[in-house]
Amino acid sequence: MIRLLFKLIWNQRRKHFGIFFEFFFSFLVLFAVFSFGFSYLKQYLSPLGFDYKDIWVVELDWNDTPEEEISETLTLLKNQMLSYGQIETFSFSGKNIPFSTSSAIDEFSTEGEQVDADVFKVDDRFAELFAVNVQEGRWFGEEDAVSTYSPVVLTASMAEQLFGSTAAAIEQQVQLREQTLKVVGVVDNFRYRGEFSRGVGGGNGIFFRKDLDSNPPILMVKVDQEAKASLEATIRQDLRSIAPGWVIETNYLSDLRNKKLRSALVPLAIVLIISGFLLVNVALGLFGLLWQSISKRRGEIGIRKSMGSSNTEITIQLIGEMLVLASFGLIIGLFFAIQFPILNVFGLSSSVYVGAIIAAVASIYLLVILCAYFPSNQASKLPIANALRFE
Amino acid sequence: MISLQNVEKVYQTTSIETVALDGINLEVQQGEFLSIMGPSGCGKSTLLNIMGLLDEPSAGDVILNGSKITGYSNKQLARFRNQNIGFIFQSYHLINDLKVIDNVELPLLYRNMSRKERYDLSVEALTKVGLKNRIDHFPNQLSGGQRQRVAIARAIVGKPTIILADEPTGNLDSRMGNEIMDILLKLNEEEGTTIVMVTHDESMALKTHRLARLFDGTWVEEKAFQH
Repeated sequence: MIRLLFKLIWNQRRKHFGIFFEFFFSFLVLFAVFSFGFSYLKQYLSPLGFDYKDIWVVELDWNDTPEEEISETLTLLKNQMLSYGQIETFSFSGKNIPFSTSSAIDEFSTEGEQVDADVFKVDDRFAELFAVNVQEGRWFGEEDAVSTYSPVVLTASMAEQLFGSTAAAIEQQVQLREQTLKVVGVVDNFRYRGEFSRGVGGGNGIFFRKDLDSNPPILMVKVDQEAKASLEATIRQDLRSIAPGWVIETNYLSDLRNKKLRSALVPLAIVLIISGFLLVNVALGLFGLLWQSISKRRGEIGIRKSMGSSNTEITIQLIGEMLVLASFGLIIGLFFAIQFPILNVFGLSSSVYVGAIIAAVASIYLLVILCAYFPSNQASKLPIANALRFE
Repeated sequence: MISLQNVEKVYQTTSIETVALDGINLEVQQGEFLSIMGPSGCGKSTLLNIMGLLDEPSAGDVILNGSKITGYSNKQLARFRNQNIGFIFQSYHLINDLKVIDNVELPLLYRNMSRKERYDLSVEALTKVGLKNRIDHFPNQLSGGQRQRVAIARAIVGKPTIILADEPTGNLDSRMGNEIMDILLKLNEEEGTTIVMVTHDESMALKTHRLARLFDGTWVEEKAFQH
């Protein structure tokens, strides 16, 4: 029966050209929609590389404070933070903290490779504060204060791109223009831009151990969940008394994350609405085409029924034919779709494209079954004598 | 073999009631070749459709091969048609997108049969109608007479006990019509197939065992012939 279905469709290929094209076009639309959707979903489900919960962000702007006072005030702030028993840890870093809109990107190279990467200026407590996982080597420590080289920590993505593997990166040198840097550790990719961002070069990042006295820093405090509310007012008050002329703004990192997510979800929602509209269009187009195609064949349905085919067999046959028709269109569509993972178009991973192909194929077949069932079922119920008159 | 008892067929619309068949009784014996004649619109094709289970009577009983076909489900009717009845239509009713061999195989698709069995039986049927060398042609590559022979092959491929032919020579010239008639007569004589044929051609009807005339949905004349 299946062989005969293929034969019948092949013999009618010229008649069905429009339907082949509709399936081909529908497949490409669905493939694009699913690729986009899966890519976003994959981003969302991938680990951020840090823990953002219970972290309080304090932006410090020292305004016109004389330079010689800044370092002294920062030291006083650090000592004050150390005096709080309910603080788990705290850290000073550059402006490009997680979920912020700031970024710093530079170009780094080894003898054979050259990559762009996000640059983070951090202190020794940064990894502990964000629960950053050190894959190889170590995070910064006191020993780096007296080292003769500039220590850096790379993200796994950057280490792999420059040295082939995370383990191979340790103790290797990286160039930043004239400056030579030495890799002391490799950490998980640090996706500080949030869930829907892949980051520079797919997650390249480099951490510098820096004294934070030249630029207004960000102070981040990880507090005990229970102590959070009572401690917040105290810390704010103490900071203001230590640095009275400074502008101090406070935020919770989880709030910054929510804000970032909302800004990413608006375009996503628009794309989803457009995709939904496209899907409905595809379904309506297919329904119309299948209805017309099946209606034209009432005579043939009469012949088949007079030869002994039951209503159910007619319905199954018509749906089967439409599935075979869809398969011809899909084969052409698959030829194009398969080029995307092979040629690594848009830098998305192969799994996204393969998933999108499977989902698009399954959706087309499901749409065909749904759209073909009603007209097929209606056509199969035509009285034979009437159906034969259409021949 | 075929028994119609008080069969009526009424077509009803909101304002008009048309009686196509009015209390038809008919007995056709096994191996008999019956021809039915009558003017256009007298109910011949309706009668044939009811005999072939393509249409339901408004009243009365249809008994085929000893089975009373009342209350049969759609599936049972389909199975009965497939196993017992072969159809030949005036306008052939072949599927133009299928080759001759595939058209002939059609009734066998609805039986639990291997591809090879289907092919062998179809070639055998096409050999009987003299079209073995045309199995890979499409219907539109054949003459009218050849198409009707393909339709006969399709009707006999499942070895049915009854063949119902609705003006099988109606679209053909006399030479081709005679060729088709010879095939039907041979089937009836050599294989004992029961045939009921609707025709407008008296010369064809005279070659059969019995002629029944229908007018306005009722029998008006019946004649038997000795050959």
